[in-house]
Amino acid sequence: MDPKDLKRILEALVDADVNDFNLETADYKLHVKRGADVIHMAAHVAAPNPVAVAAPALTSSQAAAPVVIPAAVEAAVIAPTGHAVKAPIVGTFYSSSSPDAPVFVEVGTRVEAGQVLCIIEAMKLMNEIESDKSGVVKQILVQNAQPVEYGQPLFIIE
Amino acid sequence: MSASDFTSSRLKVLQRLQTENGAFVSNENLATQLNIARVASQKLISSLEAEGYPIERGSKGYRLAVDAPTPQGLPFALEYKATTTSTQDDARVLARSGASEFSTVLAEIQTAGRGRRAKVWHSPSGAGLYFTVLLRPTRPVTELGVLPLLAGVALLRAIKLETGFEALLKWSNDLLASDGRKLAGILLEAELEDGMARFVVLGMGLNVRIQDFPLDIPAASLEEFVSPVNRKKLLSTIMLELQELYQSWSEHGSSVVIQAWRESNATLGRQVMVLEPNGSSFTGVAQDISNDGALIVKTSGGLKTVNAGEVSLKFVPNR
Repeated sequence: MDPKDLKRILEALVDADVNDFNLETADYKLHVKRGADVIHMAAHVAAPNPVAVAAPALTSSQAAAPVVIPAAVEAAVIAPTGHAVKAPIVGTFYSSSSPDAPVFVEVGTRVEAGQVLCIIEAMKLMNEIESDKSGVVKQILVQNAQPVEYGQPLFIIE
Repeated sequence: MSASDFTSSRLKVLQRLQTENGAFVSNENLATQLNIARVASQKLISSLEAEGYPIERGSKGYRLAVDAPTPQGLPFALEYKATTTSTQDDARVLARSGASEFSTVLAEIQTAGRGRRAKVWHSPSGAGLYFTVLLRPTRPVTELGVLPLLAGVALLRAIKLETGFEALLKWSNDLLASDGRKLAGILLEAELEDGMARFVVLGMGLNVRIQDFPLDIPAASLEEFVSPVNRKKLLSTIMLELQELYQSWSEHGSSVVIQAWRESNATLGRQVMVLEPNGSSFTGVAQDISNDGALIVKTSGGLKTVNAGEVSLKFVPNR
């Protein structure tokens, strides 16, 4: 299956607000669940045990193999056109300066380069993450108080 | 006296008290120096007192508390304030104005002192050391996670050197009394740019002689264990320890800090409870820290790496 097709299917599901989707063809079986869950895709001939693959591995040759795609990567696949602001460090993501404070940005917020988008805590160091591009926040890919990895996309700015 | 005259005269009185270094100055003497009426100089003193400067009255006049952490004689730039919202915010302003590394803001009272995730830090006048140090690290942002640990080790060492008291160092950098009550907390905030920190503000709050903690805060003061503590000398020693360890980290990297932390901590090997930022919690045994300063906890479900959250040590009551 072509990654572009997978992208189209995912986009159509998002547009229609469908959360759970099964597709079976002669070549493959596709099961997509949106939200924090995972996407399962299995070729009929493939081994039964799904294996986890990293984001860049979503190429046409490997897409035919069983894959488990983390939710964050799924979102990145949906909107590959925008600019991704990535986590510069490992830590915990916070969408506001304190639990009672309003969030720094929401989907639809217009931001300037240099504007604070979130905080990532490492140990007890609060790192303010700024946008490296001006534009509109198209997507927020991480939920408040969740761990993030180095290089993980956090925001899509367009 | 006009408002601006009042402000400038007030500053002169404060400077005079600071240079006297704990000696008393009579009101008459102050009035003569400023060329104002004695009633006016008295007002200036009262105004400084009301703002939170620890002014003592004796038969020979007025003085700043002997251990007031004033800038006189300290080998780093110190801005000494009576009251501020938070020294963290003041230090950010300093940073943006181009202040040099180790520039420090200290306040006798913080009206909005804060800890991790805006937890309120209780900071009444003359009873603690609440200050923020400006750092301009040259190491990459991925290595900054050990700075909180570095600060904890420096504070622990300084207290030991200055008072002989051995506090417990809890991951990542809280200092506790032997019964688990909190003596000091540290908070760092960084502005990042292109994989480097534009600056880091390192805030420390140390309870020295606080009498009346809010009931729901399990906190302790240093003078419950060692007395008396000279706040100014302690501040000076903290800065020396901090600068030494920081220079070493700047040159050699994180391993220096990790090793120092392992040697000084009271966390590894203990039962801990971890409250994660998302609200879930788990217990286990603190096994080690990673090379970037994260706590590794052995749980029934395997090893877990903690890079944020509240870790509490399990204490046996009335031990």
